[in-house]
Amino acid sequence: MNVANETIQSDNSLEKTNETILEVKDIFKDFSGVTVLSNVNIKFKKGKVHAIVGENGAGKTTLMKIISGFLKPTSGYIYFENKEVQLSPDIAKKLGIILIPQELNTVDTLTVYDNIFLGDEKTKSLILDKKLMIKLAKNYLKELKVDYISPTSLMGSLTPSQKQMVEITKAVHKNARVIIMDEPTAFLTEKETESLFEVINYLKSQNITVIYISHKLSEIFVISDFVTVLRDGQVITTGKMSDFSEKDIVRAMVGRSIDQVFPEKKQLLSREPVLRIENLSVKNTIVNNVSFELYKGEILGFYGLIGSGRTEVAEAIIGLRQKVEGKIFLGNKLLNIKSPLDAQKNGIVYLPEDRKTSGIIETMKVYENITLQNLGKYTHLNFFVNKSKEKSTANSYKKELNISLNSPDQIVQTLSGGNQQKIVFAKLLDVNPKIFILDEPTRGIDVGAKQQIYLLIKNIVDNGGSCIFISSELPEIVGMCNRVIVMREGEIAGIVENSKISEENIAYLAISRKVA
Amino acid sequence: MNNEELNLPKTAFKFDYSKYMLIFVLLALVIVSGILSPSFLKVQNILDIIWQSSYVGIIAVGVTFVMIAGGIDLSVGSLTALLGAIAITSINIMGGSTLSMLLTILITIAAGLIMGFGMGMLIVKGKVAPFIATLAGLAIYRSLVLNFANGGEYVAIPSDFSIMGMGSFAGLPIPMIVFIIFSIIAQIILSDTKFGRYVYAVGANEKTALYSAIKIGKIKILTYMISGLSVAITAILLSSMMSSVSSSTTGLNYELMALEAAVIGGTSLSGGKGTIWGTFVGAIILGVINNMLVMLNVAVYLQGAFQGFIIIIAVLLQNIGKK
Repeated sequence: MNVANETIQSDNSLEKTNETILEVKDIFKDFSGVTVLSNVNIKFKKGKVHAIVGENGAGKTTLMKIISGFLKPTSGYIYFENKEVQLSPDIAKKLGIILIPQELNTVDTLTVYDNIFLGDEKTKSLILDKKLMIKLAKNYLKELKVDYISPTSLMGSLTPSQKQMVEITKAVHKNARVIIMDEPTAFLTEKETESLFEVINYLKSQNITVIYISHKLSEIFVISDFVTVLRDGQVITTGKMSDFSEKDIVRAMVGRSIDQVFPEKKQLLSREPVLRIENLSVKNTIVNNVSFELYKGEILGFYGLIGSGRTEVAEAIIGLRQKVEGKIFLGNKLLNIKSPLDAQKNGIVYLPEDRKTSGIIETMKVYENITLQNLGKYTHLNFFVNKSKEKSTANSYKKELNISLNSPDQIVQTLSGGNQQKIVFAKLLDVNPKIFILDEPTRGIDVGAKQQIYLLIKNIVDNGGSCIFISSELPEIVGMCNRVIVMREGEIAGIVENSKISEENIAYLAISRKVA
Repeated sequence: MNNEELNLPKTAFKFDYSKYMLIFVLLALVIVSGILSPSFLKVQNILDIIWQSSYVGIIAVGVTFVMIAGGIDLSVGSLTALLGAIAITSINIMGGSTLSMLLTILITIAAGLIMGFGMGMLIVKGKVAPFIATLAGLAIYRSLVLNFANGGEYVAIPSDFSIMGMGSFAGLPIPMIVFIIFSIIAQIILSDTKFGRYVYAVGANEKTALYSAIKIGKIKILTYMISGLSVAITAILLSSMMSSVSSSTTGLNYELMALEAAVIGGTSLSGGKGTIWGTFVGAIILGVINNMLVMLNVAVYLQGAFQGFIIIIAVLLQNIGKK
């Protein structure tokens, strides 16, 4: 206690505005034996904006969940105004620590004022005092200079930016002291981002601390006072924003040693385009004017931050999303693909990003999953299925892809993530396609299985196939690809080739400012 | 990887109690009924039970396809009355010749398939939730029959018409033979054809089915057409047996009984799971319970309550099997 008092005094004597409101000390967090955060120490100052940056999977979200009480650290301390606290969501809320998640938790079927007063309704003898709530809500919105939002509008009719403003308004009037914003500009336009910054400046003037999580360097340099870079669950560097350059931050974010072993890259002897995309824009997405070519035998990387439009491009190619504009050529043939079946008929298959919901059918048997995409091959008269033929195919894929399973009759749910992913690969290979679009093919599987998947991809191109390899993990993009297309905010930010392929070059393209 | 292999046998070689539970339940019911009422076990009574179970049973088989594909069909009861009315109108117009009976069968089946197709299109292309679309069907079909019959009955004039519903072959009532053959064909389609596999895939994980280049809309529409077909078959057999269709009571509550039979038989309301043989046994279990209640002179009004309890017990037993 004495020590704490001294700290306060010394802080006070130094500079009033440099007071620490929240401190995390020696934080460790394990998820079933996997370390996600280790030895994290950060001090957040009163009335300042503190940016937390890092790659996908660096541990930012886990840290924010700990600070807002939704997760307990495995070990470590949290101090609020120099007092140690054990956080739960309720306690964090009482202290005024409020998380505004990327996917907002608003009730879209209620009005704006209902949302602002949710859980804290004003009543007049048991009856909701709507007049009072509308009046108060109007004032609150005015304070934040967002009174273009009407308190009586339906929440569902607002834009993502307006919803966010309502959430911030609500936070301010629940006596927020620390507001955590997780990727707040992910769904905002440039103009909306500017008005968000105005609101953040208002919050600062009210002595509220903002913890600002973002990938976008251009933004954090404009808005932040302090910055902390996380990588692989550790604090790499922390300090005043003005002490860093954009290059410093990028290096701190990605500068790690590559310890995964990738198969040797095959040099492309000729550049024979097998797939050509011209001026693709996708309906209801940010994907705009994307053009590129995929060469025969190539592994073409697709890198970009979450929300940059990589998956949307892939889904448009296989006919799951409508094109606003654009042409797709297979060799010189113009394609008109309206469904995954059309794509498959043209030799294009897609491995979806989310294995569990889109890649496998968990409750069905291994052989049923493997033959699902090309079941016609296993039928008499295109009607009766020949199960023994299906099972022998499953057995041959078991050997070829080294799938660990007891029998083809096994339910897929009982297999590990890596083996499930191999089953999805088997399903696609069985179609015998020319072009594979692989969306995060190594997500959520262990290192050993990853290596086998890399070999499998190498095998595909060695046998004359071509791959589009979408990934959020820079090391595998660098280790596997002949060329890398970097996407940013729905557009191609650049294409990196051969010796230029490095984590720094790619990350720089993905997050640096848009050149006007 | 080794750990994984060691863990597997637990799930891979587990005895599947829920698969045989149904037979145990049926046997237990038969034994209890036999003790409570000796006349229950007479051959004629057993045949009667299966016969009476056939009408709802055939529909339940059709509805099982819809449910495995992740849908539901509440319109089958009202559709039975509507298609029955169509059958009787057709026979009355064309007379009692063999040819006109054949034509009547064809017309009724075609009508059932068309209604099923329409319902499927509404659900797939119109994106109306299956529960809502078929609930509307339940109201609309019944109301149409009531209106056409002015609340009364359709009566078949040619007396030969009753041969399909009342006739028998090798000592077995025709509806029962149709029920058994229809079930066998349905089971083969479900477990041994490409279409059957797709029905399970669409119900178990629609998104994966979509990414796997399956035409999920077509599969769903076909399941509603099978449901329509099954209703047409029951409508023919039922209107023939009674030589009439009551606009107010024919097919009443069949949608609930068909659902009950399927659920007792292990079909999941959330899709992806179920078998025809399960539904078949489920329909007969319902028949046994009804027969027992009649023989024991249980008030007619309470029979619904018993059915309700049975369905709850069936689901509880299946849940225990899961753990």
